[in-house]
Amino acid sequence: MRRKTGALLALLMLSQPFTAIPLSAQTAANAQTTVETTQSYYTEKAVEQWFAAPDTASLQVALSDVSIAGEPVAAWPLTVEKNVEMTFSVTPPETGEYILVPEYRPSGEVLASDALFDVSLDGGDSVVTQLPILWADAERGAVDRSGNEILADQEAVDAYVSSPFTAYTNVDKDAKTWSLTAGETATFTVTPTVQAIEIQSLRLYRAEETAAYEAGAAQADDVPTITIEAEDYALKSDSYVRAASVRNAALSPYDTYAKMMNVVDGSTWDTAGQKILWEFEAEQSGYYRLGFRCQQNGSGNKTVFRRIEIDGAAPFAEWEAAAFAYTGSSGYRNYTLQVNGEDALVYLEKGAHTIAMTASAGAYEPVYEEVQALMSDVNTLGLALLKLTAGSVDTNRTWDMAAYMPDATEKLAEYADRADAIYEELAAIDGDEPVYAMDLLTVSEKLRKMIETPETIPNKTEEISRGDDSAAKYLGNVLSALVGQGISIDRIYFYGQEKLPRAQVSFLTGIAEGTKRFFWSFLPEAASGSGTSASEDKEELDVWVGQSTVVTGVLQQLLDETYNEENGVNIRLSVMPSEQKLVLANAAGANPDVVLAVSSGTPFTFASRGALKNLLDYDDFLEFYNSEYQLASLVSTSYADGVYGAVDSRNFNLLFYRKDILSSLNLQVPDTWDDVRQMMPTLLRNQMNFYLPISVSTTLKSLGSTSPFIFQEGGDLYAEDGASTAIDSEASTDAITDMTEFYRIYGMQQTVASFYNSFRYGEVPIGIGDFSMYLQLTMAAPELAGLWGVALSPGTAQDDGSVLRYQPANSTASMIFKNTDQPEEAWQLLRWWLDSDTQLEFSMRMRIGYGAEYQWNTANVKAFSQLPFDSDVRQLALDQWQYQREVTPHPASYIIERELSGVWNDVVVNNEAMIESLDKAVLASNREIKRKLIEFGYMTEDGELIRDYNTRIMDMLYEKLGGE
Amino acid sequence: MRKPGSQARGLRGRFVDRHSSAILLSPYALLFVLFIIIPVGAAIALSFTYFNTIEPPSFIGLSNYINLLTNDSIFMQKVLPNTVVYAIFVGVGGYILSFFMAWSLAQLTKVPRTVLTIVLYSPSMTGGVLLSTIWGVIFSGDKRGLLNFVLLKLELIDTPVQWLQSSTYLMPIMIIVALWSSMGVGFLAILSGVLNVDHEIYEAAYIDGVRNRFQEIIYITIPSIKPQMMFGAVMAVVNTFKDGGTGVALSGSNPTPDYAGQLIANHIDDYGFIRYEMGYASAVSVVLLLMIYLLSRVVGRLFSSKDE
Repeated sequence: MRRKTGALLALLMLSQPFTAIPLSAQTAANAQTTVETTQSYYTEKAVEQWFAAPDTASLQVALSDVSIAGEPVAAWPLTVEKNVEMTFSVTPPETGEYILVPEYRPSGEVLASDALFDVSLDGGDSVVTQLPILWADAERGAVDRSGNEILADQEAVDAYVSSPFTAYTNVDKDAKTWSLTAGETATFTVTPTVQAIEIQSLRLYRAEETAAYEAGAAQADDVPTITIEAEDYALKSDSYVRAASVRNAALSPYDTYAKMMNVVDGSTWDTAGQKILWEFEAEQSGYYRLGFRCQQNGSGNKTVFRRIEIDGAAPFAEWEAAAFAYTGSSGYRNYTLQVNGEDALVYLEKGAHTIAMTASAGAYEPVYEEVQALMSDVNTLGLALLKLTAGSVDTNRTWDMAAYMPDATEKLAEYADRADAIYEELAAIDGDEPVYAMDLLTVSEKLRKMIETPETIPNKTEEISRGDDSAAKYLGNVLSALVGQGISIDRIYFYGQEKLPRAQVSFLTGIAEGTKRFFWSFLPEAASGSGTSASEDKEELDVWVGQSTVVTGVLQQLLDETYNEENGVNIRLSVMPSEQKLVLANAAGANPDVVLAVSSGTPFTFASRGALKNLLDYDDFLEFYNSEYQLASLVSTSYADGVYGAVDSRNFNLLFYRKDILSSLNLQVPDTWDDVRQMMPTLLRNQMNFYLPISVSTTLKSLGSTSPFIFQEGGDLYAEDGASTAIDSEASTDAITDMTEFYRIYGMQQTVASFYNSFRYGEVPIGIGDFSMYLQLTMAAPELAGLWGVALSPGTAQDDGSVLRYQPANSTASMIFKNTDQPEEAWQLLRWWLDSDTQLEFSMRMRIGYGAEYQWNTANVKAFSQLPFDSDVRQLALDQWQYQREVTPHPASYIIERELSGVWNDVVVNNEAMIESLDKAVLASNREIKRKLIEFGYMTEDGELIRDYNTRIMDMLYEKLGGE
Repeated sequence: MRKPGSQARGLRGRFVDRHSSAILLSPYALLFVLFIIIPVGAAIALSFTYFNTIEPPSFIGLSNYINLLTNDSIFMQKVLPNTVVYAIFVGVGGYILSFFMAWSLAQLTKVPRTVLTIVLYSPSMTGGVLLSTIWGVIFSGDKRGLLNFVLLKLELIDTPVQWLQSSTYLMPIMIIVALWSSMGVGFLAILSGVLNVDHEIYEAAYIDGVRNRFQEIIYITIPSIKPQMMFGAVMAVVNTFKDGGTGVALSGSNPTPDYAGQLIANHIDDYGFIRYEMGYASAVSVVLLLMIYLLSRVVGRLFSSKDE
């Protein structure tokens, strides 16, 4: 008996720590069970019918013909790691076009929506191809505190699926075909570039034309209507194609007060190749019509296209690209698909089926190519004319075109006709005036006007191929307009003789709903849901986030699922509308405990005035930060001998260049500023320019744009004791000379209103841009795909041959307030936030939920290297970050910023002497530095230095790191 | 000797009677104290402290004022002269322009007058928003800026001029833009004044020997609309001195390049929100308050002395 109690006691004691520590393990186990028990929103059949193989004879690749990285393989499935080559060969019995269809699933962690592959045939040029990764909703119907439905979590489908490799660079993103000859062995090389995959089998099929529509019956049968809610999709090809909630009583589901997910959002489903699959049940066999309750209002009168597949294959050729006409913006409409002017009929057997819709460029594909061709012709002519004039801007000079370029007028006339013809084609496709492509008429008008005075054509390259008002730019607009294929769908109907439910509610119902909602908004339950509010519980940490509501929402969800759950707390995040608010809250003593992701300059402002907690007080901070982040980041959040903020996201400054233009001008990508200086004459001769961040249109040039020059020359902004400026040291003077001579001697453009636009239109084909420039170019400049590249930003060559490429990088930082009553909890939360797992997960969730343009550019090196970036760009960003050099923060840093900017202005804009202006700047800077140091107690009123102001932050950090 | 019925009104009635002026004044007094007295008082109090907006303020006596007068070279060399130049051109110029415009408009018939009044008045309402869009486009420093484009076309210049980055051009441009938006409430008041001058006075004046419109303005119109003229003048003074948005909006940054367009209001912003020296900024704003007060007194004298 006694023994038993003892054992029980021991057990109890043992179990005590277990309940306290491995809660995480327990929740993980819980999570696993919930995954098993929750329903999944797709069946095996849906995965099977993602792609139905054509009836043509298939050609299976034999295991013995496959090798991975040169090694033979033993058995299916084969795992092909990222950047590893898989080679296989087949010998087709018939000559023809083949598609390549693997049965695959993603291997390892799914990092991106697109799995991209370089595929080459018989050692030829490799083509970028894509395989979709299937996504499904993990859990639907979750609501926030005010009962509004929130976006479902996404999960990658872990099952083998068949799908053909698609041509990633085509507008239409349709299946890539390879022509193979009968009896000849073809060798394919496939290299995954983004995502490792596991291949179960590999087959080739003859690509076959689908038969045209033939009416199987005179009219639809009298069958019960099948209704599919679009938001209840089974599978989709992109995680960020998502449901949305539209407040419209005609849609379903709908609730007067709470937001319900009721449509598939067209703005997220607008890129060719994005596919959604739904499952449904037909109660009766028969001929059905296919109808939608949808809204298509992307751009004026523009049609969009969807490939429609029933049970994995398009039933007839017309549905390879079914047209959805423009519906206008006044609500949803019922839209029934037609072929040859009659409702198209499709036969469904009783039982389970799937319908899939893939965004497609459809009839626009040939038009797109025509516009592209026209644009490239116009550009070629523009360049030829530019070469003729050698960039002369003499508008009085006239040219004998018959002698210099006899075919120029002819060409212009031809281009004008082509523009008109394309416009007519679009009008035919849309059945209406293509408002979105009006620019085509502008182009033809512009070109025709030029023909009237042929002798001045060479003076008008700005109207042909360069600049904001050029024909090429207008054609670019048309290209961008043609790409979008968005359509929002509320319901899909298969119906026979029954009438479809109405797609709009009466005017009075609309008013009544609005009125109800208006009065309801005064009730307390309505107010409770207005965004995230500060935690009411005094016990919890008060955490503010310096980001938008969307970002904070995602972070809150992540926090709830991991940190709050593991630690049994209920921390609520608050959105911080502006950083000024932090100052006010602090003055009122109502400041939060922790602030996440504010701009990286903020910690210093608060720290130097004693409001923040020194993160070095936490023993493990520095070591941890150094292991996953870059120590150089901490320079901008340090003050005296403390570190007051942890930089959590970064930007990168890289050199962006137009490959096409540089190669046509025979220019190399510059590596140093000397190279840049050498290329300037050529650029100028061709009326082009180089962009430095100093050329932004604001007059105060930030330290971020001026300091890199000084650092690269080996100069510094402050003297070692921090009591005076060092911008007049020899190295700094050299740097400032360089910086101003770029403009005075080498002719850089003093103001560039938008580098992105000038880059697109070829006026400024090279320059230093950042992360947002990268996103803009990848997302919003389809006509430039493949025509631009990035490189490390140029630097100053050193005697030993290395190049110093210092650039700032910090973007946001997190900090803890000194007056927090829970310093340990605050650090625990900050530690969680900075952890590479959290950073990666957060970044991925932003990307999966909202698309690549919302990616969180984490400063955590470990997490960043796992982000689904273009691998070259990622490597470049990582390399560039090795040259991260932040400006040492100083209470008087604003004066240095002003004075440097002032020197640049004096010299470049007002043509004053550099040395004189610099002397003035040094005087003003030193006076202000002294004033500020007195204010902060570093100097006596008489200007005697009491103690040094710490400008050697890196040394200090290394010392602390070594000391521990 | 009580009046009949006074008994019936009782205690409360008597109280209301006696303090009626105070009661009727109280809503205004409350708002005035809340929104004018307290903030101004706080500014004056803060001007004697060192206050970095994060730590609590500490009393430092008159140091802020001493520094302002003896140490602040930017204030003395740039901000003050700029403000005076700006005030003379925009305040006086704008005031004369308002009067001239109002008087000219008063000569028109009703429909065109109303339309033109709205046209002239609208910039002062929308000023802030339109500043950087309209004027930014006109004075943009690349060759796409309208002014640069025209000048390049006419071959008056070879390369684009950096209008808004140059310390020479910024102030004149600020003045032009401010004049454009100076037809505000003062202009409306003068217009209504001119429209309401009794026509019989003009007729009588012509009988008495007024020979032309100019004499009409000097002897009849201006004396008749003195109250409106004074209102317009005070508004002009207050507006020009507290204006600080124009230069910053045009050049895109505070401080303006080489402090060329730096006005007192910008200086306050600079110290308060960039250098975090709220006490000093308060001292500058107290000085600004005094300047406006004194000038308003001068204006008051100018327009009322003859009547007394």
